[in-house]
Amino acid sequence: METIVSLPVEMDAAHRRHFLGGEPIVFHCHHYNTFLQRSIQDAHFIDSDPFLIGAAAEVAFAQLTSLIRQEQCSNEADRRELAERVYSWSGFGTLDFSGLTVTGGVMTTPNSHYAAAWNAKWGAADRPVCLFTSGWISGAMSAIHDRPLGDYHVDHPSCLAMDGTQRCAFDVTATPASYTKFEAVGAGNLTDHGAHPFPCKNVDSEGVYNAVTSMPLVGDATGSIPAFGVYLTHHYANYYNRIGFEMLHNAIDQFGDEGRDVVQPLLVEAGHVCAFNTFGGIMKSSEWDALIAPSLETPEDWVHGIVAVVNSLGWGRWQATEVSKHQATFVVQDDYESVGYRAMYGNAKFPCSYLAQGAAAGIMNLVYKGDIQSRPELTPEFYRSLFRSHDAYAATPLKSRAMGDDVTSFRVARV
Amino acid sequence: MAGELYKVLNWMQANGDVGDVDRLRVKVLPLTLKEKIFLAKVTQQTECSSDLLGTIRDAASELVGQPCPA
Repeated sequence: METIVSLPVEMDAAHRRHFLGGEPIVFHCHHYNTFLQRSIQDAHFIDSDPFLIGAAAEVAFAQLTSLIRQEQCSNEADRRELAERVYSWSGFGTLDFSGLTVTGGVMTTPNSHYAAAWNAKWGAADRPVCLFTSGWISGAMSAIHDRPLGDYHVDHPSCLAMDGTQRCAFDVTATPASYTKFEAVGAGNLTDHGAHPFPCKNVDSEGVYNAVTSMPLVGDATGSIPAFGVYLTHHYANYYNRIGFEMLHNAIDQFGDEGRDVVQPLLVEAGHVCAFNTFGGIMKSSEWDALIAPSLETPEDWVHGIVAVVNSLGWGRWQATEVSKHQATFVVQDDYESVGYRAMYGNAKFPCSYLAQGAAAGIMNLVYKGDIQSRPELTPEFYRSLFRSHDAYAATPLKSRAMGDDVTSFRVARV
Repeated sequence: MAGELYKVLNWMQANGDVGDVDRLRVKVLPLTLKEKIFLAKVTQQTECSSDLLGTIRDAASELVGQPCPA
């Protein structure tokens, strides 16, 4: 176990997964976070607030309960401080629990990842957007006060994402919460595996992994992690899993296969958005220039280079086992979506690693279609040119760990 | 109303952002399925009620950020 900035983060290099307080954590940026939430809220036929809030309560409660035990935080002040530290370290903003008692109270903050991101990406919101934070506070309060999950109700009457608002506000009461209560599944079942060989001698994957996981990518005084042109978060894999899969299941329950067919493209598109902004930003960064770019000779090397970085994000072990400008095969072991699906719902009936599917296609579009090597600006127009045209790369699932296969894999080719 | 829905979707493809049509599909899913219409399979021959067409046109205009021509 390696301690990073006084939090006991477990870097599981064998599985390329990261854990804090037993919860798998993954890097994702503000583009992905807001795009995913908006996609879910677009489905007006789904009552999504209960699971958008409940999923956050689930992971916060599980993680903090574990950390409180692990760190032996016996008094309330230490527990509150720990919760505040985890939240800001993760890049979610800042919270101050000092004004809350066991019966609740009002908490306000001038720093919120979701609110700032929403405002920057979509403009002023017409309703409060910090549903994640509402759930997180509820789960944290239960952990701090040794109460069961769901014992704290959190209202979010004002939000920085809305016009004319200076702070996010949360009213906390010790009354039963109205969100959906989920049982946390933690790490799930990971596989014993070796790395698949991949055809590239110009990328030192282990060196990249060690270098990137050693970078101080943690929240600053405002609880932000500005890096690579985006705002990163150490987010919860099982939060993403829960909200995405709950949306999917709700749509299927109501509309069968058509519900699934409508939701899936939105979840894959979120992966495109992620790859474009985060991977694009990484491949234009000074860190990339210093650490990885000097040894890269071909576009294929660039694919392997960014895949080496992806291995440092906690998403599982990624490999591009075959790469050319015509097509590529990506093999992912212990991808967090599949592992989470199986732990939450059992074996899937269809491939459901949507983030990975979109991200794999995004890599190919950035390298072969977008010539990221020439350092283009990552503008909305550039995004459109990469993903809208009829010759864009798209990923097709070949294997799915969620369905019981040994790995998750995709073939990526031009449509 | 044959062909009108097809025109709206084509207009969205040409003027909207990547994924706007996917957003439209999820926003109006309950209404389209009531008329057994699958937006991913709309052709020039697809017919729908004027109420549904109006709703879809409004939603398309909102997503693209400009009025969808009638």
